[in-house]
Amino acid sequence: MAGVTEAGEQGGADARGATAMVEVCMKVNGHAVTMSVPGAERLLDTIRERLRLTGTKEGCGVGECGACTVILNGRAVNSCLVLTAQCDGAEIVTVEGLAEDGEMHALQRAFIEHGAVQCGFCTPGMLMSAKALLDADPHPDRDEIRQAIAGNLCRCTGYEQIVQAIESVARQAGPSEDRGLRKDHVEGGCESDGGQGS
Amino acid sequence: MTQMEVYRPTCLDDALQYMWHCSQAQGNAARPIAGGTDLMVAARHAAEDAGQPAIWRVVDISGLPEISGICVDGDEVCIGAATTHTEIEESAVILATAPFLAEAVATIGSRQIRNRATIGGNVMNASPAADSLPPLVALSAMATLASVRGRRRLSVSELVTGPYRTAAAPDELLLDVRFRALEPGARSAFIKVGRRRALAISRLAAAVAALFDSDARIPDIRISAGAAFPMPCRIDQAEQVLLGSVYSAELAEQAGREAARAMVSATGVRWSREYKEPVLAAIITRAIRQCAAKEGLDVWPE
Repeated sequence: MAGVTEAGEQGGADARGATAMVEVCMKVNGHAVTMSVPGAERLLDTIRERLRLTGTKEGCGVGECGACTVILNGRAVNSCLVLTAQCDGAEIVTVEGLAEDGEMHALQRAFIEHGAVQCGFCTPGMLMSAKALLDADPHPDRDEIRQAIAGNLCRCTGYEQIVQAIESVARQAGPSEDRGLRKDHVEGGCESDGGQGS
Repeated sequence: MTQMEVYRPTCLDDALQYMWHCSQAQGNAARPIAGGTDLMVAARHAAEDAGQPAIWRVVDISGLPEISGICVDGDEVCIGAATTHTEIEESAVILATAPFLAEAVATIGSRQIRNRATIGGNVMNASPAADSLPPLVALSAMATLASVRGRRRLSVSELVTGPYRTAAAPDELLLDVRFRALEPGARSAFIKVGRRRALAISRLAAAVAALFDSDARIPDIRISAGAAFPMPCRIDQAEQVLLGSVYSAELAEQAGREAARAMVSATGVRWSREYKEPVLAAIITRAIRQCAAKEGLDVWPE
């Protein structure tokens, strides 16, 4: 097959374009960021330690708890299982991207009103799973809500209040509620590159 | 975390070139990453394992259009390896042609996992508990492997050669899985037993597809199980109980018992037998009865 000999004559793997550091351009909470990161860097670490957006939490680090949930191209994902290297051109929303012009998101208000926050560690992940659900379907039923947060553990076990909070927002939602990612909102602290430690 | 050298190919040929190139270096084959839901967990633990190379060569295949999406290709349904479980569970094509495959992948992990994890990863990770495998094997699905040396097709049951082992060479990438749609009117069911309802790994799973004719006779039946056999397979002994016969709940029970007997003779008597034997018999029976209930020939088993 064409190219076999050519590849065979190449030197190391880096000769074929694989590198230890990778350039990544992405949008985080509507804000464009460009940086160079180690290949193995997780999206979670980029968000917390480079961009200093520490609302996103690390729980288990293996995709079991959902504390690190963010919205990647419109879908909820565990940021501990995503390589930042895979996010070139991606749009990401973290919990810091929920509030708009200093106003809390309806989900954030509902969580407070329904006592859906106890220790608070799972809350950012819960909010992002709930937002991804409501963005896709503004009127989910109770079962769909429970399914959507099935990958988010709350060790305080306050699930009932969380489900009620999401239900209350779903009830308020009009037929053409704001959908999709906001692109105009600028978050502080997004431009820094190379921040280390937490 | 294990260090990684990440290659981001712009097309399939690029990815295959890179994989071939890496395969020439002893012991440091490229690892394809798509959803990363297995690979990232493995990378976390590999740093402590002396047998692992210090730097992993990782090739990101998640964005490759050549291996993403679901299409109907002649009389085959083709699912690209980089298609996510969410895409499969929501696909009108899959719901129409192999509903138990959609049911099976909908039980994997959580919403966040299914939004990233792919069917290619589920197959190639080759966990005995991989939930896509029982329906794929029941469908007699074929897999397409590619490398710069060419392409080849083999059945999914030949591809998976043992727990976490496949027949793929270090430079080969899974492109797709393909199967013939179930006959119009065929019924299918998938049942999973996990330690809890969400985010659970299968302790056992059952996948059944059955076709009933107007006399309740069964001209086609496919039975497969997850986390039961060393290699995924159709359970011929159980299928033979029903094939060509007129359906009855008693036959469904007999097929369940045959399936459990086949599991024990394939794996030997293990510590888990006391649990697994009756449970596999029960879920195989239940999956057959669910197919019959959808046909109006039985009541939905509780």
